[in-house]
Amino acid sequence: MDAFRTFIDMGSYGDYVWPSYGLTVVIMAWLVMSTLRRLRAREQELARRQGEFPARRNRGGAIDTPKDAASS
Amino acid sequence: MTRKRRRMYIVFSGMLTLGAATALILTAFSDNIVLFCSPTDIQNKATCAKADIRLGGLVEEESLDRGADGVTVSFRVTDLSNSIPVTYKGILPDLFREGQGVVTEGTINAQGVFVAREVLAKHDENYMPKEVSDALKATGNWHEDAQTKDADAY
Amino acid sequence: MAFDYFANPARFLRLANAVLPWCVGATVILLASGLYLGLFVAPADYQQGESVRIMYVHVPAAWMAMFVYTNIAIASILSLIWRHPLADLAASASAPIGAAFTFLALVTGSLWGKPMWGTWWVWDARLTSVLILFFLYLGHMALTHAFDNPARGAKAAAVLALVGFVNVPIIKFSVDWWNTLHQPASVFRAGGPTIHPDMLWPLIAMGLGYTLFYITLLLLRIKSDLIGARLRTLDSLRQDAA
Repeated sequence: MDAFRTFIDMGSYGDYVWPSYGLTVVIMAWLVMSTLRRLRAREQELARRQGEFPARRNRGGAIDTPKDAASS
Repeated sequence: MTRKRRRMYIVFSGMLTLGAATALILTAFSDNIVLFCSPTDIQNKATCAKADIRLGGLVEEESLDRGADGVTVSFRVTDLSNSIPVTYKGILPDLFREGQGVVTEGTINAQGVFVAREVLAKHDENYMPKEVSDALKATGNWHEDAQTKDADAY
Repeated sequence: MAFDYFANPARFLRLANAVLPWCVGATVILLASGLYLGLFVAPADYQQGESVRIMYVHVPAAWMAMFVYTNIAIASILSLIWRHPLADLAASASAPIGAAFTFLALVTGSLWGKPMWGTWWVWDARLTSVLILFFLYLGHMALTHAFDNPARGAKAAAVLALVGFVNVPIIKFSVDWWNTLHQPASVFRAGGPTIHPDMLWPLIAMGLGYTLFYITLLLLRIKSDLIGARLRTLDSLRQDAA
């Protein structure tokens, strides 16, 4: 228990070290979650709507061209 | 010339111009961008002759004097060429000690003593465990801030 | 040229999907080992004591702040000159990540500066230029979404990114060119690092971990944006059919 307390105390700098790590974890986790959330939502929507229009095949085999992707 | 090549010229010449303009502006304002003046700067530079300035340098060895009231301290700030006496009432940062870098804000009084309102510690770029610094000190290979740095940096 | 090859979204997606599991794995391993080494194994500093452990989250964040902006600048050049279709996506996907890292660098820097320097903030050249970088990121994100036509937003943002790029070398050399409270470089400097290996290795692990974290998120976001583009195409087809 004592060793744990010492560790948390971080040589009297605990009040600065742990918020630094805590904020880092929170923000990086938020980045991951917001990225995955949007990706899942769009993947699901695409799967839902896949049958809406018959796929138009172009040379690259993609449904839309790079130009469409850039300009939309 | 192709449109692509024209775009390339525009972009790169634009960036070059911007870079040159920035360099010129920063050089012109250089004295105003520095955070602090060294003791030598205070003697020589017009921009450091103001009343309220920041003074930076090293805490001169053996100059630290903790006053009788327990709150006032006095010490000298040096850049190894010149030094200025400083007096300060307040708590000093953890890292403050003789031979350490320091940045203080305040005013020079009529007696030529810098009355500091704020004292900050400046540390160098070296990181090592205590065993290593102890070993270096024991073998006489320890370079304080004073010797590893170009005094101009302070 | 290599980037022409990946202008095709389907091809890019195939590559991204192949590479992503490795990126995720490497990110997790590097961050986990960096955290473990930094918090439990690395020694305290001879002068900064245990507060030096903030270095393992502050320095990688600062490195990423500049690295991501540099990537955005490169993407902006590819977009403006070569009109590479994925370049705009890479730039807009990178900006929020870079902004987050810059924010972390500023805040963890404050938390480190208060006990060590004695202040939360000074307007020295290093701190001020990093704050400017943060505003550049915010500006980039604002411009990207400021126009009804996304292509115009992307172009405006690309111009801003290139104009602001001059700030990156300023950040790097600020501690050398002017008197600053922030100390000079400890890693990327002539003469090699001035950090003891026991502290340098955790830092490198975290630096690489943060980099792979960014690459992973970037790939996921571009993938997400490409799917978004496909959805918008379906939207317009639906409108045409109506």
